[in-house]
Amino acid sequence: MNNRIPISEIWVYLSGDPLFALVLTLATYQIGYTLYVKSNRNPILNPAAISIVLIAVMISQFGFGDSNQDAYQKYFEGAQFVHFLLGTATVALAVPIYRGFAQMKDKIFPILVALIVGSVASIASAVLIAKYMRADESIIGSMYTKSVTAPIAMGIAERIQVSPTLTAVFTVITGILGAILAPYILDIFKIRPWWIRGTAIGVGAHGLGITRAFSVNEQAGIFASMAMGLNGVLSAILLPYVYTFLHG
Amino acid sequence: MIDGLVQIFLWQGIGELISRFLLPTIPGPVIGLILLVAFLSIKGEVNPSLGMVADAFRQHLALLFVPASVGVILFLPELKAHALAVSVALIVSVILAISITALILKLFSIKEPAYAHTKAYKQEMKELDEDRRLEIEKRKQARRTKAIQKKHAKKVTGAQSE
Repeated sequence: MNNRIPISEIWVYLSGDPLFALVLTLATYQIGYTLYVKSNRNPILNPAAISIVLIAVMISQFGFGDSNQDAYQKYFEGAQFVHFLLGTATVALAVPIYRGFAQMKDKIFPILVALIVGSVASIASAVLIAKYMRADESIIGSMYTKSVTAPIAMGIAERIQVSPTLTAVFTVITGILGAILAPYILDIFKIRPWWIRGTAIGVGAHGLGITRAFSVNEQAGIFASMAMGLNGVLSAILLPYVYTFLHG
Repeated sequence: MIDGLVQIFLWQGIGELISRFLLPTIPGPVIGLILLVAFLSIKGEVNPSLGMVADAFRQHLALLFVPASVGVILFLPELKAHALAVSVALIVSVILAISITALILKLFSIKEPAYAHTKAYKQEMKELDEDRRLEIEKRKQARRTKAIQKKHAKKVTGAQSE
């Protein structure tokens, strides 16, 4: 019995395996999702945010690697299988867009105008405030992409060479803020039609807002998904030009 | 479920190829998305398998960007130093995005003419509503009679087969 492996070595063995990073990602997300559902879908308990915090604490505090850089690299080696599906999820957004188109008919022109103006306002305000308050260059860069749904935003981020990581983090925070604030903002302006509420939530609150929109009203959910996808497509096409125009 | 997934992967692959060789500024998956929307519009329907996969992805979209977001541990010093700037920028831009989008749509959706407050206009609207109500009632009635006829027909065929 004296050839027992010390517990620390089991840890080293486990942490080198892709399975560990995968299980860690899915399990923490499941914990977050359970809490979210149990709390009656309170947007503060965002499953992704909970998962990110738990994983970040675990890999940086429990000797996953020699430094944070090393720890993250090791984690990502395993978790890249989840990361890879981002592109696939982007293509899958075609379905909600198509379903939204079927319901839009005469509303397509106003929706396009509102989407473009709304997301330009969102990008411009974020970038200008970050610049004015002298934020770091990498932070300002990611403010350009954060208004787009994360899978598409990260594709854009890689292309215009801003940090995909900060983009993803800002997008998650934007989603939480949007889902919390949207009902109040829309009530202040007395906006009642479900399709308008849905579209605004899709532009401002991304995925998390959409799941909430769906739980309140089917039509709001469909328009929110459609707005999120359409906003992503428009941004993917136009943002590189906006970025070089304002930045380069 | 698998054929829906295969379909999505195929469009993603085509998108990646086009992005690589023809349109390098647009990410491959976005091109795949556009092509799939075009394909669905031509086809006119979403097959259930594709719909199921798409709904699953949409519901748990956030899970997929967890791995990238954990990289935040590499940016902690910068974020701490600029915490105020980041929070103000994010909060203001979210509020602006939602309110501006909603207000523009509200402006477009109010198409009432300038004489909307007059009695004649209100009367006109009332008549329109009445017309619509009658129309709906008529359609309902038609559907009901159709259903009854169907039932009847079934009974007859049922009796014959016996």
